Amino acid sequence: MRILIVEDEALIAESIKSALQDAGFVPEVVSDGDSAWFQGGTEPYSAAVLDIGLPRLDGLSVLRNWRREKVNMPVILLTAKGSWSERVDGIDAGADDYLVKPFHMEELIARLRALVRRTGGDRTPQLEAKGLVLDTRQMRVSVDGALVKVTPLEFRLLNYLLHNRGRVVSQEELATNIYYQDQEPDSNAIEVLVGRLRRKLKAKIIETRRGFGYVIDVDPPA
Amino acid sequence: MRLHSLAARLVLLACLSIGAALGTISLVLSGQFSHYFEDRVYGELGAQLDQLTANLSFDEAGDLVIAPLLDPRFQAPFSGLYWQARRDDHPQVVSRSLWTGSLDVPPARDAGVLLRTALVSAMGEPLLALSRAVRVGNGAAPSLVQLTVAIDQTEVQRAAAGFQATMLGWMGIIFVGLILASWVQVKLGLAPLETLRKKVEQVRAGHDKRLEGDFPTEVMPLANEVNELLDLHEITLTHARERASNLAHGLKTPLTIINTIARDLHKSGQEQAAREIDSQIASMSHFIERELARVRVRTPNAATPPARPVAEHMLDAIKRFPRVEPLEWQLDMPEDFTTPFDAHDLSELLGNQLDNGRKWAKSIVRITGKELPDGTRILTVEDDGKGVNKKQRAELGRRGRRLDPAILGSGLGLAICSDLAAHYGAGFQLDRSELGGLKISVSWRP
Repeated sequence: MRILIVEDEALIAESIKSALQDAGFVPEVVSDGDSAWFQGGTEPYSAAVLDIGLPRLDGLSVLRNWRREKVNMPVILLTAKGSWSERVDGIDAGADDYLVKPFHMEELIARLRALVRRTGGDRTPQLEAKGLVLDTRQMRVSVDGALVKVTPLEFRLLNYLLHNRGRVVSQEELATNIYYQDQEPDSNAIEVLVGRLRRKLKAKIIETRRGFGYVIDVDPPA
Repeated sequence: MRLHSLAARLVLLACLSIGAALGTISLVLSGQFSHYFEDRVYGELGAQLDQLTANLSFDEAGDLVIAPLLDPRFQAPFSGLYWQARRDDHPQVVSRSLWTGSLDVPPARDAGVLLRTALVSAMGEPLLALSRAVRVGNGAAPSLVQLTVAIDQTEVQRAAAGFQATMLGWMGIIFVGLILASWVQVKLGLAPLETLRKKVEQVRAGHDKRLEGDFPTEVMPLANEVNELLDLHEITLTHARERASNLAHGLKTPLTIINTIARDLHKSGQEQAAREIDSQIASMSHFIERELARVRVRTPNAATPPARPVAEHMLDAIKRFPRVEPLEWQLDMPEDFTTPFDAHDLSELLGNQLDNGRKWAKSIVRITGKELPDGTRILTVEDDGKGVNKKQRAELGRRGRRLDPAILGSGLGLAICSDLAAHYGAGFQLDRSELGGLKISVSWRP
């Protein structure tokens, strides 16, 4: 899942990026307001972590611009200011959550996961479909109760498909959301990855829609 | 003794100046009256002296003979009106009223000159005497006859004393009247200073920002100076707030970076060092956040807008904060319910209280604003969470401790609320809610 990090302090940005990678996200960093406005408005992201104090264009203006342009990804605001008036300003501008510096990385990740889950309609940190359970907090995958060892890349693929259950996801979209910016996947990398996952899961959970992409169907209502 | 009251000083000064003026006037009038009365007496004596002169004759031996004068007082002994005629080498002649006495007047040197003398009779009466010498005889041996008329001065003195008594009575009344007029004048004159004091009090109480009003020309410069001082104070305060705020914000970014370093240490297995850094960062963050909240607090202002719109705006915002289970937010507050808090501070107070409810409530958060029968107003936020025990409640308001580390947030909210309430002189209390959770109450007397 691609997450846009907008932070002008390089050390903080790198730290958030590293933490998000560890948590199974695919983070991308921009360091000024103008770039953030452009990047967030033209690229699909699952969420954004947006600092308020940015060069060129402040974070609240970036957020207002996104919302005006119908960019509806969930956004967590980061700021050194912590007054309630400012928080309300942030929420009024269209933020979904607010985090005051200094913050614990675990807190940011937890809130980001909660936001992404909420966007996908999930309430718990465990995503389930057809006996497959993916625990976003523990970063574990199991099928019918049996733990399955997966690589971070495989985890990201399953995570993305489970967050988009019932929707056919193209290979391009999958590649964009599970590979880091500096990675150049081969043309058949996704096919190979899905094939390897199917063997590990030992169940036909990931379906192929020929010519369109892949899908994990939602469980039929009980 | 030094007088600290300006009004007392001015009234005292008026007393002294009015007293001096009236005293001088009394002395002058009294002197003038005595002088005038004496002139009248001497005028009467002059007429008697003329009659005495006209009644003067000589016998064959050349001794003085005075025909009886018309005024009967000359015939009654010691009546207070006397005459005397004296010739150098002849026996002295006196009125019957002088009995065997005489008038001790200095001898006249020239004829026709009137001589006024104050003397004392043999009986001890103070007398006013008028003398004139007339030349008699012809040829080589003319002589002078000194004629004197005297009257008891006691009458004059009594009249002067009566006039003075009456005059002093009136002077006293005039003195009191003028002092009262001065007191009224001083009070009216100093009234703008009292108005100025009330205006300053209004500013201090937070009702006004500056001294507004039409002051007299003499007071206006002072009002302008005070206004400039207030403006300077406001600017200084704003700058100080900004500097403190900038300092705090400036510290937060490095703290975030140190936090990332602690995380790296944690990942590399240096757990103890990472934990120590985390603990120090948390301590510094709490300190910064609490001091920042204190810096943001505005001056208490009695003219605050109704609280309900602020509460509704805060509710509207806080409802959009993420939460797993949706909450029922209940607001029970009259439209015209006001608090002593500035709108910004009320946002801080409600924000922290509602956020606390959002984190802990199972399903309901209730905000109530009401006036109690004894006139106390109370603002409460309560929830149906698990609540806190007595010991924890005492701890919460004081140190802003986080009771459950799993619940995210700075954990300082209630301590900030406690500080805010104290700043406005309001009470802050944590109790068990009838809903089952925590009840946060802020109360004040309007």
